[in-house]
Amino acid sequence: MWRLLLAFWRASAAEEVQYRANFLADGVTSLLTVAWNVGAASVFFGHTGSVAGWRFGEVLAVMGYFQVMMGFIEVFLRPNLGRLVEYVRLGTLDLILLKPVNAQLFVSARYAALWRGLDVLLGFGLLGVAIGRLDVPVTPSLLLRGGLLLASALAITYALTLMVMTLSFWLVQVENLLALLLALWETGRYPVQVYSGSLRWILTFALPVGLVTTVPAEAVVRSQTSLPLWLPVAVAALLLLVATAFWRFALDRYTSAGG
Amino acid sequence: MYPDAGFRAIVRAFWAFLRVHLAVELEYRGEMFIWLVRGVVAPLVNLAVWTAVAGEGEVGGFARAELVSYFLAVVAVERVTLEWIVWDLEHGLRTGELSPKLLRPAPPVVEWAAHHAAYKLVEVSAYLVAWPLLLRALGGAPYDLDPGRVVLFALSALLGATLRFAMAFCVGTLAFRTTRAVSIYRILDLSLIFFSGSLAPLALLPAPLRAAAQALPFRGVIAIPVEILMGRADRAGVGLQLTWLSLFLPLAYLAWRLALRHHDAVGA
Repeated sequence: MWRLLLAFWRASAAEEVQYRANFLADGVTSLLTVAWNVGAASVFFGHTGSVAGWRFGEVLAVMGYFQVMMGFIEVFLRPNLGRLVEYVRLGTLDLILLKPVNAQLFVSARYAALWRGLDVLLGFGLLGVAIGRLDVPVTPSLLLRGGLLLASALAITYALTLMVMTLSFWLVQVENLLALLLALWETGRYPVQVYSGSLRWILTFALPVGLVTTVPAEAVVRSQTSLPLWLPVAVAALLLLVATAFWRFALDRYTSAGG
Repeated sequence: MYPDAGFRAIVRAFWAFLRVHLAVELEYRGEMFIWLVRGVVAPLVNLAVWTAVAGEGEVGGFARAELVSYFLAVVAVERVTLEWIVWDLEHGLRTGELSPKLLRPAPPVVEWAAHHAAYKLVEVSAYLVAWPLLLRALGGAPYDLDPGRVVLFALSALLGATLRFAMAFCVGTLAFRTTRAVSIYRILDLSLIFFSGSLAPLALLPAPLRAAAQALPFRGVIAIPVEILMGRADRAGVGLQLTWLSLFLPLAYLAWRLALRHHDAVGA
């Protein structure tokens, strides 16, 4: 499987290097965007030492996780699952199903917009700055926790996106549903504690952005987390199972246009 | 190069395009709902953070209820002033669809402006229904809806829309010279978030940023209309918008003429 993925991404990279100037332009934009987001946070913190119990450095860690996740969406989810609608509409899906490759792997990982990997790196940079500012000792157990929760965060995002995109077997305007999901995902830029009452509950359990950015940041830069650490991992595992099952269910029902 | 159309012909063309695009937009109501939700989320995230900063007290003269009213008004003005003209220009050039448009008697900007107007008519009507509901649900302070103020607010929002369109159009004409116009536009967009009052009421920005925001044209897009509605600005704000417009409208026209002079469509 890894050899296959490597081959896929090498082909993607070969396509991309044709457009080298894009890399620079996008890089500058990504850098500016991150600087702007940090600037926005510092405007809030110009008025107070802590927002909903979070210090500036801790919020930077949340933004770091958020940035890594958005980068992951741009590198993998959008170029791959974003195409699923087209596969169904144009009938290309039939070709994919006939390939001697796991179809879910193919529609999820065929392409990699590698140049957007810069967004991911910037996210890790933010996390590093947060850890440095707060003098958090970097221990193997910290890296393990942070890494595991990052993997869960990406898995949750992937599973939700796969479920939404799988709806394209039945619905036409699924791109819009994805846009809606991504818009709501924007709420993860700040700790979930800034939202009040029922909204916080929704953003933690129903649409779990809180598990994707807040809890991992807490695990890395704060002494205790608002929710048990196993929760994001469990939710990620559950969502992956459900999303895969839903994808299989959809494929079983899929009859192509002429079927 | 198009022959110069008279003013009345341009107005007629605008109405015709407006009717066409209105019919199309009404067809895609679901899509519009999603764009509206996307437009509401970012200001409401800012609102949530500011509310957390204010806590039980206030921040820079804004208590919780006023912050709610402020940011819900930001959403309204944001939707009224929305534009995507850089994509229109870039798309037209890249696909060659601009060329036939240039042969029409009315300049293509008439159709783009009409498309913008049609989209906003539908979206803003939807928000006018949602606005009072959100205000009540989030516990905002009611606006003082004195008719004179409402009219001034509407006028100011329209001027803001024209100003934003003109500024973006200037950037958009760069698409004739470089394929990076959209990247350059991103800088304009980020400046707009910071200096227009959509990240924070300008009074809450740190002193150097506030000074910059006062000097830059961006507050004419969001802050001035919103502050008029909140009773924190008056006619002088509209005067400032007109001043910036008197700079950017001629600039946009000039940029367009210059761009066309150098324009060679692929294959020409």
